[in-house]
Amino acid sequence: MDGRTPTQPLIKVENLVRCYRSAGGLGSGALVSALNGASLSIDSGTTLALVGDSGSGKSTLALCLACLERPTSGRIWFEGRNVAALDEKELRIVRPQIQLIFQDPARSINPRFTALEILTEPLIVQRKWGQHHEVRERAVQSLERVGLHREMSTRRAREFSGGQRQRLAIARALMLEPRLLILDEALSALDCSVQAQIANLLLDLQSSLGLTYLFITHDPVMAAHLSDEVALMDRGRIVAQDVPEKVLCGVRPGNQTELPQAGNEIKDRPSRSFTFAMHFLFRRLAHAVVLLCGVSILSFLFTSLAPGSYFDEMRLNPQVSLETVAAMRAQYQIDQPLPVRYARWVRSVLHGNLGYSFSYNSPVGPLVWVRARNTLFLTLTATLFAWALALPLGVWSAQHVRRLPDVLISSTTAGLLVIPDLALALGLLLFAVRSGWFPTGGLVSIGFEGLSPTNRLHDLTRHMFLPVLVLVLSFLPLLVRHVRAAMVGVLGAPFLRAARGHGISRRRLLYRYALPAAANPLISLFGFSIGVLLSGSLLVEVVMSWPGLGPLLIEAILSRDLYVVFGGILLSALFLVAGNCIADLFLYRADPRIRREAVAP
Amino acid sequence: MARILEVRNLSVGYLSQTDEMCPAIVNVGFDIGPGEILGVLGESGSGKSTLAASILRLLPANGRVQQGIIRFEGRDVVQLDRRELENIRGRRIAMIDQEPSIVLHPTMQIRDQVGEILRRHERLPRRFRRERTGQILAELFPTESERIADSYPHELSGGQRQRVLIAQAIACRPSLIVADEPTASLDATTEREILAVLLSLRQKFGLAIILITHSPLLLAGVADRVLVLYAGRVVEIGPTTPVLASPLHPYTGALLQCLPQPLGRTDRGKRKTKLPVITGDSPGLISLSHGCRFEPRCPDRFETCRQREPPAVSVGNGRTVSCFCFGG
Repeated sequence: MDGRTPTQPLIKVENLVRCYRSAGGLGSGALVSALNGASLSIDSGTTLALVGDSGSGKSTLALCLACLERPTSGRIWFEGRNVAALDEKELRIVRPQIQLIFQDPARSINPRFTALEILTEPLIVQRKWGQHHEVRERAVQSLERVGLHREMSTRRAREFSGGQRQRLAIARALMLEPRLLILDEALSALDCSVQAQIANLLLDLQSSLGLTYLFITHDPVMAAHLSDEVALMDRGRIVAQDVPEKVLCGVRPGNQTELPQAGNEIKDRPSRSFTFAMHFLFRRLAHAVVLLCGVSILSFLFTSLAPGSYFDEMRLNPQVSLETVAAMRAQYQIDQPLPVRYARWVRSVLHGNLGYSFSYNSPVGPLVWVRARNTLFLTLTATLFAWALALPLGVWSAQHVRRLPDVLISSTTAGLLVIPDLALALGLLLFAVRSGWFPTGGLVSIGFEGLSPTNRLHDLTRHMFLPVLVLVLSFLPLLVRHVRAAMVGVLGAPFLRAARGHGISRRRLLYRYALPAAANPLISLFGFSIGVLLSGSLLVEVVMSWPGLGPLLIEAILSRDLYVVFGGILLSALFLVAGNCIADLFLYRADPRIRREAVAP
Repeated sequence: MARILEVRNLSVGYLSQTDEMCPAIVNVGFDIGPGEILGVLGESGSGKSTLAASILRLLPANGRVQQGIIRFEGRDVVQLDRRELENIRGRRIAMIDQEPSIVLHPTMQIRDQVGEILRRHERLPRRFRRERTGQILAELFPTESERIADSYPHELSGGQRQRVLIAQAIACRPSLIVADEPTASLDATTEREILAVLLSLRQKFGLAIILITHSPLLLAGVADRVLVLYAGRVVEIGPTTPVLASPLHPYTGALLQCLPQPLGRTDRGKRKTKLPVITGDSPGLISLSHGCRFEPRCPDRFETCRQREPPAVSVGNGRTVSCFCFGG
């Protein structure tokens, strides 16, 4: 043991404090201290057992000692240095000497790696990469030292049993020749007979390698058996450290009063939820404003970069004199520099005036708004239908993974996915012309005003049918696939099995339990789908002659009717932002965990 | 005494990807009376979770009941169709799963997670259902049931979540609860509390409980009888105290030997000494041997042990053991 006397402390902790900021709105989160002035010391070559209830700060202490968490204050003396004050670069040298072993090796070991890869990985990370065969030999030695066979070195981690995996985790820790091994509930998940085997292994390794252990456990019996000293932890403090007989005699399981859980207190949600929601909304709106500014600046920039203007073509017209053109240019301030024009435009937008159309000779606002209303109507109808179809289809598909309904739906959606929207629209248009069943364009028929309400509805539905169908068909495959994927991910979840165990019927299980749990990605997709359908609808509108933003924008772009283009772009962006905002609110409503995250700093 | 659950000759296996049947439990038989707590003791791979799942017919898709009877309140659970099963689950037999952190719905309020079960099994107007939910939660959380009802799983501690699972299980006053490692993820103090809760509910409602665990210490003072599983076979059944104090089957004996001695009973010299271990690994699901499953690791084996499996032998005082040392 490097000539040290066994009584010298290897590691000494003084007044360690570690605080976390708990979730709370607007920076008001309370400081929760997981460590509250903990002090302990471990002699070289001995074992200190750390016992205490969950929430007493044992794991935080382990992370601080392993230099994986930085304490808020306090000192950790390791080999004469205060490691709590070291910087990242110096910590790289200290960290290998203190190794941490967790309760569940299945989670700390990559199941796809072979044993050899797992063992050599720390050396690569630490750049202690020597000769290939040397490293290999060291890994195999380490494997044998923990009682595994050398033939097992090519096995993958998932092929090992729980006890063997824990041996592997210990072997990996030993590769870096550590002095201190922190065993955080390392025996807790193992069967009794395996526990005994690993406990014996730990004793063997200690006597042969002179290792020092910090053995964290909630099992007082095993703590007493393995340790030289026991430290009792309570509410972030070490309340006693002595030989097991003295510390543990008073502690019997069930003898302590219940302690408040660190960082687990429930807040008074009802009274604060309103402020939380407002805060959430406010942040989203701020994002939206930034986004809209960006979009408008970019569209100003790009349109001015494009050559030509509305008035260039006018000059070719012999009936318009050059003076008139010049006067109009001056009136519309086309010749002003870009920032000036942008500033003027923004000011007028803030006053509710989107500018003036050159070709329609009327304000842009009402012009665009009428068209936008039609587009929105089309898009929202298509979105609703697409989702109304996608949810049951996706759920049905997920319920029968790789069986007939799933195969049927998957192949149909794959087929739809490869047909371009344009081909779909043109094909349906051709069908409408040939069959004469559907009108080939427009929002309503001539003489719509004179129809009775039911006939009006009928007329509108006939006109809408084809454009909506094209949009739904073009977007449905994506939605169905996402719904299916989200549901498949959830259907194997333990909480569904538990609900099945309570006798919940299959239908209820799917729609009340599984779907809400799978909803998060779908809600985000919902916001996205509004935006995508909106831009997709522009094309469909042109092909199907739907009097929406699409035809207007194309016309305006071709004739360089700038303010119509800006107005159109601004409104589309606004819809997109609104769609995402709505999705965010749904998300906020649907998932309590997001409500908490949304307000965490 | 009338039996509420009788299991006879139950064999359950899993179909592997190559369509081979891997037996997980073989010829398991036991019964349980009203208000009785039966401890099922077994290590991982012993088939204890399979046993729990088959009582409620909650086996994974590739699990198959190969043979046997699970007679619950006069009806064979193995023969029931889906609708009948759904009517029994949660109402007559309830399950308490391990790992409460993942068996509660992450985005549903606790109130709804309990209420859904009442909605399924009891036709109550919404208002009464809410009231009943409050009463049920108050059994487990006498002082803070309202607050718990309004919270979500991620806002609760491990012990609180476990109590919610118990509240769900007792919601419809079942006669049997199957608790699969109910305290595996809890610390020692909370573990004792949860066991105390189970005991008091047994007192109050006459619940029978099947308590599945890998830890013999947990059963002492809690279970009335204990059943020891090894590699899918019942090796020993009997009243808890005698089985733990003087185990008959070599496996039970070896398992109890593995435990470190409690502090009071050891002198200092025994600390940090090696524990006795069972040599070898526990067998996998597929084994070519025709003999006793424990034979390769058994200190007391003899020739017969390799040739056939030992039958269950009754040795009096309600104890049964499957070992040739006791006849067969």
